[in-house]
Amino acid sequence: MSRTILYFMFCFALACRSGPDAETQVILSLKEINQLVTAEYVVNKIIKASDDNTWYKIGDRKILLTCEASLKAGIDFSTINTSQVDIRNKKISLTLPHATLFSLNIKPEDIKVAYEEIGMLRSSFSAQERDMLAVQAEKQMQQSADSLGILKTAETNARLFITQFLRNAGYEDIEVKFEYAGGNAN
Amino acid sequence: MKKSLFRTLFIVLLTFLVLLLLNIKIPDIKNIFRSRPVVIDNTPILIKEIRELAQLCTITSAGEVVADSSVIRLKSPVEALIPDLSGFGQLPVSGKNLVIIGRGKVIAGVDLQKLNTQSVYVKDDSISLTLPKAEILDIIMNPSGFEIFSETGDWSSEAVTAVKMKARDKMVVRSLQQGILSKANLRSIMLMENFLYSLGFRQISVQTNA
Repeated sequence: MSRTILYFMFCFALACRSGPDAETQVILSLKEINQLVTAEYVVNKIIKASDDNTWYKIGDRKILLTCEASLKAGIDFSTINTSQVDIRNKKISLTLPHATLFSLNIKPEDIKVAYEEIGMLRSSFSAQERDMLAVQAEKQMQQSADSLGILKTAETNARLFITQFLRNAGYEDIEVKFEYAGGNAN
Repeated sequence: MKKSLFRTLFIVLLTFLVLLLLNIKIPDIKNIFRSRPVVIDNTPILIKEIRELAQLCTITSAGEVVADSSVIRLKSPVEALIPDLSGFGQLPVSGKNLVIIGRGKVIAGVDLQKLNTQSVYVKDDSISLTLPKAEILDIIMNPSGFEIFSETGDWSSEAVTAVKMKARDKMVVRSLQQGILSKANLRSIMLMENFLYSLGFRQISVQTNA
């Protein structure tokens, strides 16, 4: 009898075992950055989820959230130095680094519950559960940011801004190029 | 013996068939009592607006803040009779509380779109540039930066958002106390001086409107 109880306890402990928790340590500080942000995309996404996969939970829960995010991209300003500038009288040629995505910002007030359907035997989505869904949406947005064309827009805007700035600084013939990943300019 | 084996096999097969027909997922024995995570669908991202910017971001302040909210009320006579699971126990009051830890960053710098023709003065290899004063350009506190530390009671989405906004405001205040704007001003001047030097100017004067 006691062996049977022990066996069941062992099975129960095995079933409830959780995976190793990833401990993250964040160093928080004031940091110097050198970003020239030249493009911002405001994007929308619908977060759609259905919680009906756990076998012992009777009934379904569905939720629809709307989410607005802002993506910012630009160029690293610190990499511009004399080696990337060629000056001949009033003619200047400048080579800039390629644009990168600097930030994805989802404001808390821009995540709204649009629809919720809760089965009779289920509780509504808690704040923590809603947050977990928003985190997944954030990851999806981060992964597909490049495909939106923000980097190309950021480079075009950077070229326009720097051309205008150099014109104000007295240059008449201005050429702004972007580096290849290998180091040459296009 | 043969008959009972046949019967057992028949019952097992019938059970599987019923489970398949009812679309009931067979639980993983190892994680039998663990809830399956809710996975969102991969919906498309729609571009709402494209903005042209020229923001020189020079300082970022990363931080972690705690914000909370609680609602306490007197128990009704009926509530006093039933067990209280909200943490107030036998006390004559009941309520709910929410504690959120928020991690994010505040970005400061200068908005170069505010530059105009009067901001730049050039003569030979001399240049004078007046930058607009530094400002907070972005406050980033994404869903992945929030942690619900304690949640008792039912909290609406709007109420949770209000607590998160409180956390965000706290972080801005903390950044301002750290002197983020004055540091951003100084660093903007330094970066622009280096940039102008690489453009061939040798007499450089950069100042801010601050």
